[in-house]
Amino acid sequence: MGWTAIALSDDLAPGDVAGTRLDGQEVALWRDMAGVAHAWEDRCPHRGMRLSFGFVRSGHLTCLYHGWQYDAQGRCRAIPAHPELTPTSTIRPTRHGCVEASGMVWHGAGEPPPDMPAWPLRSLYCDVAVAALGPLRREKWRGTTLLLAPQPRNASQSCLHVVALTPPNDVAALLHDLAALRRSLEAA
Amino acid sequence: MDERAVIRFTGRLAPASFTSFARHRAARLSLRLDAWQVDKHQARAVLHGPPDLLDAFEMACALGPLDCIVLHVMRGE
Amino acid sequence: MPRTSDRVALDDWYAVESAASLSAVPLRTRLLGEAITLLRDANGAALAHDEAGASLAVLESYGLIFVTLGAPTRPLVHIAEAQEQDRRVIPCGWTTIRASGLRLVENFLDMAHFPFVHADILGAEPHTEVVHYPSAIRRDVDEVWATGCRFWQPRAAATDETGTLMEIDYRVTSPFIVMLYRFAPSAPHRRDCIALFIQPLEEALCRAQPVMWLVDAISTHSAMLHFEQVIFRQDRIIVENQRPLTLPLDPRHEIPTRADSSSVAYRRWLKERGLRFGTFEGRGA
Repeated sequence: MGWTAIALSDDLAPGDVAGTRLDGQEVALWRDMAGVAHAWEDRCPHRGMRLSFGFVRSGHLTCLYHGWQYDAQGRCRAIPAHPELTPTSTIRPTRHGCVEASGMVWHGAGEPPPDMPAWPLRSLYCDVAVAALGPLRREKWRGTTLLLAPQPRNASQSCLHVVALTPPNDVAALLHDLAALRRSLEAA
Repeated sequence: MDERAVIRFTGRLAPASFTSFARHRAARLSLRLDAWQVDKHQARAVLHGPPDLLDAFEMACALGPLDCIVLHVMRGE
Repeated sequence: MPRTSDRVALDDWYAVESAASLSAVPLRTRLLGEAITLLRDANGAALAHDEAGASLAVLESYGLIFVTLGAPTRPLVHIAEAQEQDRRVIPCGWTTIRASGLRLVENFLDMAHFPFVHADILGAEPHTEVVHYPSAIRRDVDEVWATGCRFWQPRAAATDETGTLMEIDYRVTSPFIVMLYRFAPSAPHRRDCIALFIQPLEEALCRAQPVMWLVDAISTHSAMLHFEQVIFRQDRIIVENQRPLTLPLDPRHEIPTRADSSSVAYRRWLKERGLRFGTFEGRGA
């Protein structure tokens, strides 16, 4: 058990829906209008359409294909083809564990990661295997403590989510450093 | 408004497989499966629940698991 | 991938090219995993052969080249509307789609997606209800039909400025050939016919071309073509992002409702015929 960072909290606004991959598994990530982030299996239980192509309406994640709506608990609340149908709570996508801490959205289970004040920097999408990114760690760059959280997307692609744990001294320079890091990883 | 439905599926059935499928589907739709009889040629289900969900049960079981071929479906006693 | 061993898939006719695209210059394409070559001989006759050089049976019809890798037991679908000289014939061109062709047929049969995928074109909220329609496997002709399907559409055809309750019949004549008949807004006693011809390249890869035989005498050819292409592109986004990409014959991980009855009838028919190519259960076969 454990947690993997899959996004920066600031990159997921209320009403946003996104898709990501975790070890090859497709995950739909969305934030409801109350501000809570959710990570679900990226597959509508109706006919398998990826939920990450959907949209948030009335606080519900709505599937793009036939408009089936799911609330924050994952319960189906509407099936537009059958307006008289009251969906039961057993009609639901598979939900994954999702918490927010230290400016990031985390996917997994168990004791949640420590939650510290954080300043968002960047999510670096890299065409390298996650091993090349190194482990989850803190490092000091330009006098600023950074939290670097790697995400394995698939065998040859990964993402490094980066926040500052102390007020960043020079954001532009740090972003420049991160871009250089990605270039050097992909050139290797 | 909940209703009672009697649904007959006839064809070439694998009884254990169809039973497992039907029970799983009834639970998925929160329907009450009041009676279930099955052999290699037909299955008969008596269910209770909202009409649209009864229809959804019929749809799923008309297709059924891979090893069951449902040739005809009849609603009603 | 090598040629499939699925006999049900092999013993059928498949559209593989537009007749107008064929010349003395050989064209290479794929069918059911097999690399095939198409060309016209000195007399203009269409020829096809497989990777080993063996001749394949070829038919030219509906402006398309059809090939079989096996021995079909039925003739090619008969489309009466193609014989009517006063119709506008619109071949819409080929599109490659990263999904099973069977998923494309299922999407073609589906109406519940009109207000969402084709919002403000083929459907619009709040008119989302799919009223009951009969679906049947017609075993006498070995086809699947869904008849009298009614759906509110804001602008179903290029000539239509206001919404109407459209009535549509759907017809599946082969696992990879589907068509619809739609009462034309401009000529309510005759029906438009739109067919979708699918070339299965691999289990989760296909090419497809819609062909329309329309009663509309007002709209330009390019307007009607554009209309259909917009819709087809929207559907491509859907089928390429359904999981699995192949068509499940067992609905354990899905929840079909009454609105999905044409899809259920189609899958039941595929199962009865024993088709496995392009299905989830046939993967790796």
